[in-house]
Amino acid sequence: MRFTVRDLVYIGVFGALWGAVEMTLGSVLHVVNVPFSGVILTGIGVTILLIGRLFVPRAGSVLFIGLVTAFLKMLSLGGIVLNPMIGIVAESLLAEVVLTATGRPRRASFVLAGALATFWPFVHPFFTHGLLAGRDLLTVYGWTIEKGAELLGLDASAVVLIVAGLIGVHLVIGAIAGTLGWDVGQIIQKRLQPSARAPRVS
Amino acid sequence: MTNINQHLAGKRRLGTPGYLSCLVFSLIVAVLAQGWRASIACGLSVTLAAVFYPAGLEPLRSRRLWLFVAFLLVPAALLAAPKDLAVGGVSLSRHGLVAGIQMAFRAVTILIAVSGFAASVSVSELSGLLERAGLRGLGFALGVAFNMLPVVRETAANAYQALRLRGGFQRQRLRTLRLLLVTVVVNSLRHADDIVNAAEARAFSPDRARPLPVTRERSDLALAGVLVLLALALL
Repeated sequence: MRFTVRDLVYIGVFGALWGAVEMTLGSVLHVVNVPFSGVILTGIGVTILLIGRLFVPRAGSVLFIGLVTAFLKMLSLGGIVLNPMIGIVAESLLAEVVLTATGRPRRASFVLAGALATFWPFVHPFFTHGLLAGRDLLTVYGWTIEKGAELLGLDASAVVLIVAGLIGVHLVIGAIAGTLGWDVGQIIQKRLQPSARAPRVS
Repeated sequence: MTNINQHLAGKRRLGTPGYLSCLVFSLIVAVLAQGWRASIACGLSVTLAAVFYPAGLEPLRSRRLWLFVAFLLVPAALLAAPKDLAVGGVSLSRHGLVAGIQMAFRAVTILIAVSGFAASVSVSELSGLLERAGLRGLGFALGVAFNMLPVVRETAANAYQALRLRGGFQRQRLRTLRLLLVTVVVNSLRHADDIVNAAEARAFSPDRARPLPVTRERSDLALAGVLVLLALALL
């Protein structure tokens, strides 16, 4: 991964933007206990991440933005930060894999990357509680179903519906984040066009 | 960042590779230790923290940690079957209680290791390690991000206030939110252009820049060897 000075500065800026969202809005959503707060926060972060890809269209840039954000998160609190750090890096890694695999930035690749990255909060408890803390995966599955039933207002016995609903919500929010990232990124590029004409020095 | 390094170096008993060895060792034994070996893993993690990074023991004073441990223990003991233990008239599952205690040991092991590592190794050293692992320029990007945080917050606050005063959030809220995002990103990128110009004026290049310093001690390698042997014996 070789980046120019401009690329690295832009990576720092988008890392700071996502970090600021995590530190401010993340705390607020956590305190207010908004339903699907994790997915909403991820959706906003992924939008910023994908806009960043438009400005640094090189393989690895999205992963770098995620790493910078994770480091900022590490300094933001004195408490338990391992979980959000794992989440941020995993989400950026998923988006990076999709964007690198699909090549040139396109709306479709952004939508796919957004959906996949925002799907991570669904997998996250299985990874952290199950694999890291040694919880039985079935127990984590039980929690997911109970929480999903409460959030979707369904009976806990409608397991298939709950799982489908949760997966659907994650993917839809991710797809919206991807579309928003593409659209807003295009607007920003147009706004910055006069200054973007300046020669790029590596 | 150099000041932070010097400040940390004054109190440090290990170099960065030593602290990294402790973290990796604790994570591996916490995840892979089976049954009651999780308690030995936890004991080793506490011992490492007490000897090399006492700050790692700080979370043990936190009420949140003990609430989290209770959250692991109580449901496991109350909900698991069979209920073959009675404490104060409450039926508990011995199997669930044991599983809960072992999970708590794992969680405490990981928490102590991560807290100790975060308190002992500065972000600049950590990014120095990653730069040496092939992620060149990460330290510079991180420095930019640190400096940009106050700018981003101020820009966001100003844009939010301006939009709010013009009644932006009363109608077309989604459009206003999108406008807020555009304004914050555009202003941040304009500020970024100044940073790029300043860096280029100083002929800064990520390829020629030296990686951020990483502190090393003689004891790091020996400790890493001991931890590998301990992990092999435990697992």
